[in-house]
Amino acid sequence: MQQPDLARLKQGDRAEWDDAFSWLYPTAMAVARNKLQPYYPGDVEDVALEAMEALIERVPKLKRAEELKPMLAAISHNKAVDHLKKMYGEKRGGGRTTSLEALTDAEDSHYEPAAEGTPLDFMEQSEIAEYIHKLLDQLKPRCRGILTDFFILGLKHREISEKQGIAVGSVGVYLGRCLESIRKLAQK
Amino acid sequence: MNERLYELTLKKAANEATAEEQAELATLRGTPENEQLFQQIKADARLAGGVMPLVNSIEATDDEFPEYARELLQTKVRKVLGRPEATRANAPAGARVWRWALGLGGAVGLMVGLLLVNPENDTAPSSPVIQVALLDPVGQVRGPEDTTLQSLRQAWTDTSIRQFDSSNSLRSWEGKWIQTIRPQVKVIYDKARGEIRITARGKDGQIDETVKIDDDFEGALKKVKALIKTRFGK
Repeated sequence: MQQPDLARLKQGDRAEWDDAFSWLYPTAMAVARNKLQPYYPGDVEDVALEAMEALIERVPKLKRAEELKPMLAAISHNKAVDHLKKMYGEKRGGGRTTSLEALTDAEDSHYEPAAEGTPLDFMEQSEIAEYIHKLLDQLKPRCRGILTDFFILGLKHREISEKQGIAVGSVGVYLGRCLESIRKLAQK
Repeated sequence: MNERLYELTLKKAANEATAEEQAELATLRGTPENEQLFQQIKADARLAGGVMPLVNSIEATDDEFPEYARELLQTKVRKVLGRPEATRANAPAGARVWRWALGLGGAVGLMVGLLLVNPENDTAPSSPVIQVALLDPVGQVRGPEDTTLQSLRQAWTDTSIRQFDSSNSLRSWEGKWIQTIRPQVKVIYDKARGEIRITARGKDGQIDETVKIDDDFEGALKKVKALIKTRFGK
């Protein structure tokens, strides 16, 4: 599916938006699912659609079509985090939102401190979108592959070594360099 | 870059570090410099763990957009962005006829236009918005041998199947209704109870029906579709 024409989207062109919905939806779902699937799988679709609604409001300010998906990913991330806070706030005492750190203290919490409360949770949506865009542009494909293998797929060093065709002793080195790249791109 | 510190820190984070490696890491962390680096690596790892799913989501293609949400989002587009005037000259034949019909004025012209704009479009005001969900706390339906999901998808090809593994989350979904003038129907397959529930809201009020499965899932699906067609003509 092709990237939509931003000018037509800004004009409210119905057919262009019809195509854009199908093009955008998998991104919103992927982000919402990543955050919510372990805890509230039934809410993934709702949060994804709320994010798409919110994206429509941001479209007039975008300059290029390439910004659409990163912005949607950022919105979906923030919506999912807000949803988690709200659901746990309701569980713990009705109507109050709660900090992600406090979730780790809840008796029936599934959270582990390392799994939640990433630096992204404290960034503005536009900052997250810009950062994603920068990573897509500048993060080397090898880094992207290794970071995905380690942080998303949970592969062991030996498995990464076999998959990426690098010595097992070098996996740590590559990971270290890629983490440095991630950090430097966030700081620019 | 202290490569060994990176390697040991990340191995420990992934629960891959042996006892010897953990001891080595503890020793390395003994200097303030290395302890600072250790904390930096952990922070970088949290950042990577948070942002990589977003980066990868840009290339996601798996999920199919649910048709029931189309009009909702198009309404939002209309409210926020309006509709273009410029497409009048480029409009397809159906839309041109629609505008001509409107030019005549009157409800009759509008009805003809609605039929002509997209004759295959199933989103006429009277046709229901159908959402389908399955409740399967035990996870049997999602196993490789079970064709239940496939049957549900075949029965309703233009809607995605929501899956729930707890009654609470299903109840929360069941209670949410979208803003639309069309009737709304929620079809819920409760595997544990062996029944399909239909909850609908329309101008006649709320409707609740239950179809028992009795070892014939396909037969029950047909009954459900027939019930919906009887009520809503679709």
